[in-house]
Amino acid sequence: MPHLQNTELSLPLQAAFLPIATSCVEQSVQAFGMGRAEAMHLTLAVEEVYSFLAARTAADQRLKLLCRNGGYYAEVVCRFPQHALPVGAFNITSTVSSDDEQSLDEMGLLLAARTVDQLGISSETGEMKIRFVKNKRYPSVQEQLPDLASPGNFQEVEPETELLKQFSCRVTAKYGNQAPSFFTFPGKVADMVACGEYGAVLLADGKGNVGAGMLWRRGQKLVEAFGPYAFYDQTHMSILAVEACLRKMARTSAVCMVVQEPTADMPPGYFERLAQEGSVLYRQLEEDNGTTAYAHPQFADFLQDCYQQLYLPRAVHPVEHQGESLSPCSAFAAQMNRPVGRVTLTAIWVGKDAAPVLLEHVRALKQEGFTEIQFHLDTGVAEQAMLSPALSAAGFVTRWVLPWGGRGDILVLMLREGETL
Amino acid sequence: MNHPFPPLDTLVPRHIQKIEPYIPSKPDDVLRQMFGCSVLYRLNNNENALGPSPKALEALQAIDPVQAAVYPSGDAYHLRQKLAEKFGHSPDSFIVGNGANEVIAFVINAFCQVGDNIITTDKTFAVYEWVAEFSGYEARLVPLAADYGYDETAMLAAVDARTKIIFICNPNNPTGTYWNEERLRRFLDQVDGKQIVVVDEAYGEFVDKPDFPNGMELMREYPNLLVFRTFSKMFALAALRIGFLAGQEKLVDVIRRTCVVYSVNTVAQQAALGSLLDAEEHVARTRRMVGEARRFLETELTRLGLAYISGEGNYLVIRLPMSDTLAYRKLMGQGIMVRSMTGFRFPNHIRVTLGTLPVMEKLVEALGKILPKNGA
Repeated sequence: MPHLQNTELSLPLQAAFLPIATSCVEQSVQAFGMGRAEAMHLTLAVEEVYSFLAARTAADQRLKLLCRNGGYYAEVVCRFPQHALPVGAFNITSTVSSDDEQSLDEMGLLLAARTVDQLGISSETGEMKIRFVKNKRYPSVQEQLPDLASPGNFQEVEPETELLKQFSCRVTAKYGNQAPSFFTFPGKVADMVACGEYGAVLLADGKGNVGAGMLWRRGQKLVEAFGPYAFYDQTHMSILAVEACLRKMARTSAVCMVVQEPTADMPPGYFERLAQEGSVLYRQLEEDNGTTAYAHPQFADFLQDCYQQLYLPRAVHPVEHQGESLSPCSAFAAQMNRPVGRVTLTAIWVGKDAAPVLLEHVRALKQEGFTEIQFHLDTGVAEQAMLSPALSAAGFVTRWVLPWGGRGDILVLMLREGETL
Repeated sequence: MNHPFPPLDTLVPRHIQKIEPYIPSKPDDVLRQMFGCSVLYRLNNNENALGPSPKALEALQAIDPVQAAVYPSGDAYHLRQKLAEKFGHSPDSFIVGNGANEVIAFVINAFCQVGDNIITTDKTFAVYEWVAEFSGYEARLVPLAADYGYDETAMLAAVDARTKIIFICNPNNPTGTYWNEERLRRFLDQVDGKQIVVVDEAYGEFVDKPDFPNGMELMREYPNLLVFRTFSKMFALAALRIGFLAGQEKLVDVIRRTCVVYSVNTVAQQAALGSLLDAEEHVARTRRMVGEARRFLETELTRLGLAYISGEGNYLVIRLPMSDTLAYRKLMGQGIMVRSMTGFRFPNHIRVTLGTLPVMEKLVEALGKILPKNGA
């Protein structure tokens, strides 16, 4: 039961305790069945963060360390009181001078991020949380399976390990690079579903041949789906796969489903386009009875257009900075996905220095080689609307609205291609 | 001083942590404002468009507001007397609850303990499943058969030593399918008294078929049978929240131990008593309205090229060539509120309440406007 494998440690944020923290991570991750190399990457990341925090916080502060076996990855979470550090210290660029590229090496968090596959910083109920993820290594398999030549009586089956592996091989064989890269690791797909973070529907015949399926990643309100993938009688089978997937979502916490890169087999009539350009598809899983969206006048028209196109009932409430006092410092969280070169920024605090801090983030992340930089602005949080001028100044442009992607809707902005700072 | 937030990870049981609260729809005035419509026709909750019966209205008008200061009859004494008289059982064979939802909870809590399960279907009234799950019991969902009816073979196959209750919604919400008396008897014979069988007849009064079983009579023969009825649907007292269960006294005595007394207010009890006085005329009038609406809608849906599932009850399910949740939003923009069916495991279907003809005409007009043109 990998999902039950956790280790927890609470220790003072003092340099003398660093070896205990690193030892805990190293031993735990290896006990989860991961290799020494992966364990060392996570250990290094925690060492960087621990040192970074210990040097900047009062001696009486404590850090909670949680190591968790995620099945297809190991995760280490560092939690500490929000008031332990000044607000700006959490920014990945907090120690960087914009004039001095050498100082990038001083950035504890960015350095830590280089050794792991994902880094996330978030804040909730008075606590800061830094999360590192290192993916387990799996052999890549590109097995050529025989075509499904004869019509079978395909029915929904339990997504058992061997069927999921076969499904992955068939996805890779038919869809190639158009499918997410994890499908080239069938063992990983099986573990992703087994750990409960992903779900799958498979349609198989009586001989154990998988004819179609879909995969999805569970979120709190938002579910990201992949597919549909159909290897036989595509029109019919893809409808069966989509309907089975949607039935699985009924009476769950999921409010909506998004398909970032739908396949050509996606049947019409089940999803809506989120933007006129691009292929992102979306569907609500519940009745939407409206909410308030806070927006700066700069983005209000874009939001209104999106809501009109999606028939979404929203009261767009204008928010502008009108001289009221703001926190001196801003803080942004970065969710980095290094293998695909994507980073998503979100706001933790909106302060007076938002514009320069945002610019620093963009500069540092580009320097780190991230090719896709997104900003997710939560329209359910009024203060975030005030970031709009800073976002425009940093080169972000509005792309689409992801309904119910946060406390409210998420306005997705992307850094303009070729934007240089 | 900042007091620490309670440790919800440890305080909240695991089965509650997994559950999302049910968020009911917003009030009509808020919805009209949100969707920019001046009127709103509610076709989402299977309410009776004719409203309460004349005798129920009289009973409501006769209530002295000063009575608001006095507790209601804690066990709906007079109403149980009247129900006993109407159905020919003893008053102690009835438990009146704050809507049928409350009596569902009474029954589940009376019979289930940790490790037990209940059996229901995947596409039916959700409350059996919800109450079981938030109470920490497994809800086994047996798929409906291809004809959208209950599959008795599969239901019996799902029974094990920890199965305590089997729920049959008859007629089924939302498909309108029903078990006739012969089929229900056969099922009860096969269960052979080993589990409690609940027959939910929330929409039973809408059925005008000679073979439709009368649970109130069958419970004389089957001591494991419980029957649910409500005043919300046919009797149009949905706002007052009142329903009841009936069963043999010995069985009902067990359930009474889990009941919350005083949960049904005086206004609801008086209105329900009034409803029983002219029930026959009210039922006949409502059946006529529902029948006309069904015939009209079936014709119009065929003209629009839309498939539908139409059985008993005051509702009908329509298959759409688009997302039902998108259809919901588009129809709301035109002042028509329907039930989107993804949550009932019927993606791209909506359920509509059968009401008065002018409103059915508005529904058809609105559907015509939202359907994709040329199959796009």
